[in-house]
Amino acid sequence: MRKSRKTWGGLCCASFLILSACSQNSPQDKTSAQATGENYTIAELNLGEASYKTHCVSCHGQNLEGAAGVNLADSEWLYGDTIANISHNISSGFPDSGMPGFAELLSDDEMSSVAKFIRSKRQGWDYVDYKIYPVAEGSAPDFSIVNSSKPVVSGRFKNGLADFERIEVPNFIVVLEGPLSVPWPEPTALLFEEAGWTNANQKTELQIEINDEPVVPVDPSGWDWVIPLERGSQTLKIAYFVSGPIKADEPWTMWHKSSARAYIIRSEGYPKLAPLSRRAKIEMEDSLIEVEIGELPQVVRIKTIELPAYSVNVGLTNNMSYAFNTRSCDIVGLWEGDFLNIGPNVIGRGKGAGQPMGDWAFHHPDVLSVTHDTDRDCRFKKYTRGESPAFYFTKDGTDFRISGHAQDTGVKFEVGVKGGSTEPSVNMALPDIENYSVTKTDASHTTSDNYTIVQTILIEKL
Amino acid sequence: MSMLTQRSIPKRLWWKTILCVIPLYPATSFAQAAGTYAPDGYSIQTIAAPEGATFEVAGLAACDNNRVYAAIRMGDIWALDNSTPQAALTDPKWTKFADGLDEPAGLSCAEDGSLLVAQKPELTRLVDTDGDGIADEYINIADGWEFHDNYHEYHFGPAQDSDGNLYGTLNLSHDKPGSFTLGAMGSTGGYRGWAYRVSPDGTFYPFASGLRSPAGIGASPDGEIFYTDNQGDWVGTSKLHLLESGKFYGHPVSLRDHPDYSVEKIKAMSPEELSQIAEVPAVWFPHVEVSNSPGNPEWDQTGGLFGPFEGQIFIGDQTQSNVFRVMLEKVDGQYQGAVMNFIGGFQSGNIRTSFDSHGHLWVGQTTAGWAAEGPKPFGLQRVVWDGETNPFEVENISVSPTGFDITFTEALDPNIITKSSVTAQDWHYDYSSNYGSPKQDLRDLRLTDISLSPDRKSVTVKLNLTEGKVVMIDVSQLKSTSGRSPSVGKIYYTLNRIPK
Repeated sequence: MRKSRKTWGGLCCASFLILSACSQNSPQDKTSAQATGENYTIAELNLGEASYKTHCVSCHGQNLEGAAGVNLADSEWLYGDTIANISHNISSGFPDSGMPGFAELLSDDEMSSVAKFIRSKRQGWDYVDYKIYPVAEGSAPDFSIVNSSKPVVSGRFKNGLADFERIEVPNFIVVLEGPLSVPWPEPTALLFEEAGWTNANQKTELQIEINDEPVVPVDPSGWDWVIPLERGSQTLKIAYFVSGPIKADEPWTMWHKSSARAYIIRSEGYPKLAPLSRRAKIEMEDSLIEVEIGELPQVVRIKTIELPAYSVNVGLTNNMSYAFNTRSCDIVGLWEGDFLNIGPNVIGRGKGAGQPMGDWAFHHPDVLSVTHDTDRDCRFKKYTRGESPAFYFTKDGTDFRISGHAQDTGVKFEVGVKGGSTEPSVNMALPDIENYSVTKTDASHTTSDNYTIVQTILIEKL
Repeated sequence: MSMLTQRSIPKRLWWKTILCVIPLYPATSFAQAAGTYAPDGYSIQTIAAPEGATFEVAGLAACDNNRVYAAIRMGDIWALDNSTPQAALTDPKWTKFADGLDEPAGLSCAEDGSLLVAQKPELTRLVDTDGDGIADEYINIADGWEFHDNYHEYHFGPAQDSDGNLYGTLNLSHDKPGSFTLGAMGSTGGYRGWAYRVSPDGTFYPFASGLRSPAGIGASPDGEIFYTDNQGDWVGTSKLHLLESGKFYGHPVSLRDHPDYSVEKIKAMSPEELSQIAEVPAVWFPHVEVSNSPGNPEWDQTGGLFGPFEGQIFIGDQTQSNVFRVMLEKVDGQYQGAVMNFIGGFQSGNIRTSFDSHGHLWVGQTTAGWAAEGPKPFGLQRVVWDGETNPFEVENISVSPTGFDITFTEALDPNIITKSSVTAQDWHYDYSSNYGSPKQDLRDLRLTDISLSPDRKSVTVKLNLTEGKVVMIDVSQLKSTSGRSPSVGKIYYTLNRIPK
């Protein structure tokens, strides 16, 4: 039985590792310092990270996501979010809550470095200032009143989560603004769900500025707005207009307070990285549904991060997983670790992508192919389940069969051709794989369904 | 087989499945589809889901092997022993037949005992080769379209015609960057917004275009294929069409894959030009009053086991949590007909319906991330007739050159038959990129005559008819000889043609 992590999955872990590896010269560290108005040095961050891994990681998690200890990456700081506050809390601890003080273990510099490291990993809004302006029912979107009138309600969401359910008027403009931290090295974006909800009754309109510059979504006509974000710190301002006649007998035609959800997402595959609104946080907390491996391999066909459409994921019993693509008939990914979190693909409308819960050996566009020319047409025929799932396809007029088998710390792929046909010159194209050995062996045994295995490829973790 | 674990339990998804029978009471006519109402003698029964399963049923098939198969969005297919209806209710025996599918949204039983499933990237045949009740082979039947990993690119079906061809429908995308949109939904090509046919030899054929969110497809007893579409851009209100080769059903972005069109050419076309090439539906389903998000059409072929509605079509609605029925007839060789609410008050959004061999109508349910009148996010229920009680309802309706003949399931009280005891309206819908259409040119119609048949089971109403309208006739005030009122009184007839 493979164990599973009690986290949002391998993605966060992978992000953390990549971020750590990049932290030697990361521009993000400088911008984080700008966000908080406090100065960090690379040396401090390295020292802080090392101390964190020694003393903190077991309770607060590799990604600072929290476990026995609280989440340190979000914006909910119960006891202050300054370096001084955090350093003090590290020093004194919270004995009533089970957190010891570290004053006897760490120097002041070390505690300050840990505080700075933690602070540099902040995700999302530090806080959000909000202003609410009522508008006339059924009025056309007009944001000029923001400059010409005073808000009827204003305040600050100190936890960095915009709460649309605080808005008590039915027709309004709400302006949300605050410093935003984007620590991830990979491309990210702002996702505002239900931004463009418009019908005969209700109109909505969104204006977004980053560092006081207006920005436009990837697809302005969509209901969900996606806007690329820069890594580091920035000021995010959202002005959101909602107005329309209230139709009590048609509640589904109206914008609903719980409909608007804002997130930071990864640009590739749209997995959600951090919530920016209260409802978004609730949705994210619900989003882990892990497919575990029992005594038999699992086969799961689902939209998956880093993999092209039409990929079929196979989780083997030895902590290795791979993906076969029914369009190219290639092996398009191989990873070590737990199998899949399919939560983002099935929670709600399932707009997100499934997440491999481990570390890639390789993934698309690197592929393991039965020919050098991956553009050649193939016709996927079927796959079988059981102890050794196998994929069957026709390529270049030949019937092929490919299966992956758990073997020690790796996967042995067997490639077969249909018995009776002229044996082709099977030439497996292999991707470059770091930290794995690749052994290609010719073979000639026959399967029970009359395929001749002509070659095996063993990919093992070094 | 697989074990799905939820580390963080979605509170809104977890509801304890409660084995129960919901009592339903006859009610007065409802202006809306929502609410609890049922014909006399009919009830809704709730079937307990497999323990721990997030049972979002998006595909449903009651097969001749006395098994009910349910495909859930998460990718599993479950089989329920339905050989004894009472046991299926009180002690349901579920086994997992398949798993790992990509959001399956349609199921069908094949004659060879295999199961056909519409998953997003593929139409797949599932075969249990060793007879242990678990699928061993997942065979590609058709994948001749493009799936771009967009959540809204659903795949529905299959339905089979009398020649053994299989049909499926392919949803348009939503919020897909780079897609071609003229409203809310889009296509990045590859036959999105099309229906397809795959022949018994496996040949894929793009069959018809102009579909938007065609969440239901089914075959009539004569082997004709019908489909439903959801209200939205270019669909003024939800509707039912006969599906025919080469025809265009209204949503223009799908035409980008048609050899006679291009994106530029489509953009240059006015709604008037598009409407001239678009098919009119056999039946419009008025928004809110009947349906917002219809599922598959399911014909009552139970031979009377489901009561007096043999041959009619039963369809569930995902938003209204109801089941409504459709009565078709042909005028000048073209289908048209009426829709009426049938039973309301289900626990969740109804997306799938399937009659079993016992004459029970199974209803698969998921809100799929949208809103439903029913309070629960998913589930499985069935509608059962007690086999004895004759309900008092509209049995059928037929158009005449001067009005309508409306038949009831029981003789009517003649004292209530007056011209003012039946009211009527008509209207039509706008065809545009707007998200749905309000009723256009709504007007009251006055009956010029009403008469009762000698057996008192039918009334003939005369009124001024106009082609191209939906005519609503409200018979709520009529009563049976035993003093009963119909549970549903509003009939919505799509009057494409007036017979000569």
